[in-house]
Amino acid sequence: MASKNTTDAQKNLPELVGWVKDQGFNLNLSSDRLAFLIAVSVIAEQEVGAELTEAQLHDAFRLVSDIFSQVDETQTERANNAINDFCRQQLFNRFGADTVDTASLYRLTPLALGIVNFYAQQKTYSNVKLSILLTQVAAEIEKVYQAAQAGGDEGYWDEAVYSVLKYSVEDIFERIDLTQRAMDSQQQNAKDDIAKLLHQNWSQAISACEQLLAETSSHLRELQDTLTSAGDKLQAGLLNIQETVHGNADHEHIATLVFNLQARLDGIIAWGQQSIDLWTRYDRHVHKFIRTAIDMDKNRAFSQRLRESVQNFSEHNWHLVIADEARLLELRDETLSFRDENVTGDMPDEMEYQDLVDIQNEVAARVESYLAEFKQNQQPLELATVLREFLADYPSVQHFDIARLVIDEACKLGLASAEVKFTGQQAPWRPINETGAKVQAHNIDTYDSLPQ
Amino acid sequence: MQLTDLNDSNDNYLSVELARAVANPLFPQIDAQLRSGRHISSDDFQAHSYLADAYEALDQFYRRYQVELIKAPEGFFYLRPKSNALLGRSMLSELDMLVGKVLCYMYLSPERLANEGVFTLTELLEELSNLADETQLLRMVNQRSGGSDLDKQKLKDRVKGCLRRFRRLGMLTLIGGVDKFTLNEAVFRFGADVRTDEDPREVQMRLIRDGEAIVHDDDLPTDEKLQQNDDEETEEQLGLEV
Repeated sequence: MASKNTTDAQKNLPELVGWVKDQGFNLNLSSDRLAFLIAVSVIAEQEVGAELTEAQLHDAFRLVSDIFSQVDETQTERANNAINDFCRQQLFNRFGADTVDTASLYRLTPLALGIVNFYAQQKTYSNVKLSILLTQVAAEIEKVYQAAQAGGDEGYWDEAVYSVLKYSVEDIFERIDLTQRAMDSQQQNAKDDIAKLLHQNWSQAISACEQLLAETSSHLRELQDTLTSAGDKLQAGLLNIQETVHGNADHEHIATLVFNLQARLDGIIAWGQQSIDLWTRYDRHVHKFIRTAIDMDKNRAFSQRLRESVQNFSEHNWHLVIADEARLLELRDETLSFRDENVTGDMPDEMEYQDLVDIQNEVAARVESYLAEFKQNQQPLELATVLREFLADYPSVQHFDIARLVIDEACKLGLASAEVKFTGQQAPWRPINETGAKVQAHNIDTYDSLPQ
Repeated sequence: MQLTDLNDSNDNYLSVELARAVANPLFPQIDAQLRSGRHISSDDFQAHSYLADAYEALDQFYRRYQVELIKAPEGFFYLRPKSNALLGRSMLSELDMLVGKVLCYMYLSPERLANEGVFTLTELLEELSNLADETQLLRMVNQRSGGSDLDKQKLKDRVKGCLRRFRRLGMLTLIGGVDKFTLNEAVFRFGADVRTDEDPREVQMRLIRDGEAIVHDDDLPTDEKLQQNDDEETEEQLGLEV
């Protein structure tokens, strides 16, 4: 049910949620109400048409009310409330009376039946039932395979193959799934029982615990054996069906269904393995607990004394001593920071770290002194030539940075008259290095009169 | 220390067992762990079986540092430095001791079985407030605590700190963050004084004599018997580097 519905539901999940909200569905069953529901279902089973009159409902309610020792006086009123609530919650279907003087009839809805079944039948799930289901489903799959081999018209396929797979096989898978879920809760109960047993009197509980553990383990293992042996056969059956319908466009829906069933079956088999793994882990832990904890504390007196010693902790005045040698790695870190000066000695010049800003300043100074001559001599400064000479001394990777510095410095010196006069003449592009970098600039020939 | 002894004594060479133990590639790591206070239990299968095999040789080895390699009745190993030990040593705090005792109690409680030995911080805090006196607990965090939420948060943080310390000591294994953990037999060190039905005071004194524990500094015992032992104790405390 889960996988089928979730695939459908994923598409319109918000729609689904909105629907529940609009309809205002809600379920709220206190244990007396639940008891009433179960009581009604038991009475309904005895009736021919599974239909109940209002009087019968009231009888059931009185029974429950007595057991829950509720007040007699308000009983009728509470019964009516309960019945109306159940109708509203879609647990009862009320059938109106045909004439005025006949009373209404009630019937349990599938929802109510589901709830009752969950509680009443939970204990009846077992591996016996699971193996019956598996045999059943194997027979169904075999039947479908034979029908598929025989073949026929579209109606035949729909009836003999698709519907059997859809309604019979899928339904049985669903029941197997439910059985497995019920068995999960059985395991949880076994765990609770073990904890309870140990809590009461643990040295005597050990054998009971071990028995419970062993029983559940063997139960699970048996189940897994059944599942794997039957599972292989079922998978093979499904595969056969898949081959028969393969490549036939008309039967695509059957192929999809078979594919889903295969995935479902894988899930069922994986469940068995998983529950064995989980149980084994638990089993190992309990055994370890029995070995250590119980051995150490035969009659739980130790536990009790520990409890008291925590409660009277103010009288406690001893502290455990532990070795606490600083780790060697940490020691080394400490030593390094202690003798910082010994580590930093003279570095060879080539390895000395230099700040980029310092280098730039140095280069800029050199450029400045070089260019200053032009200014002093009032000689026109032809940027391309200067750059070309300058860059020749540096590796090409630095050319861009150096050129930028040179240009910055040159601009500080003065202006180009060609530019000042707005002649509109473009300066020519001229190469400045071997790799094809070019610069476009007028000669700088108007120097600032202000001394730098 | 007694350097002259080394030349005189008969065993001024390594025993074959010790040489083999030290030569084992596991030795450096286990040695470092033990010296940092770690308890090594059977959960650490490799290290544990190594120590079980080499126990006698290594015990002799550590005795030269005035440290004993202890194999606890529960099967775990740890180093117990004497007061004049050459290795550093420290003591656990008051809150550590309280939390440790509660952990030990939790280890023994069958209710926790269903979780397969996985405990949560919430469970620990619950158990702490169930068993211990809350005002006393809060006073460990803040001397003048009025039970404010801030103090409670502080207590929670301090308990988390305890768990981290115990993890380093190999007493528990954290799962994921600090919120989930599994316990180790080494927590039984906290229950040492009530392990048998002897008078806990007697046992405490024995623990102190053995160098397993020391007396709390500022809260000297009122018991007269312990007063008699006082001289020894103060000596031990002086040699301590906490």
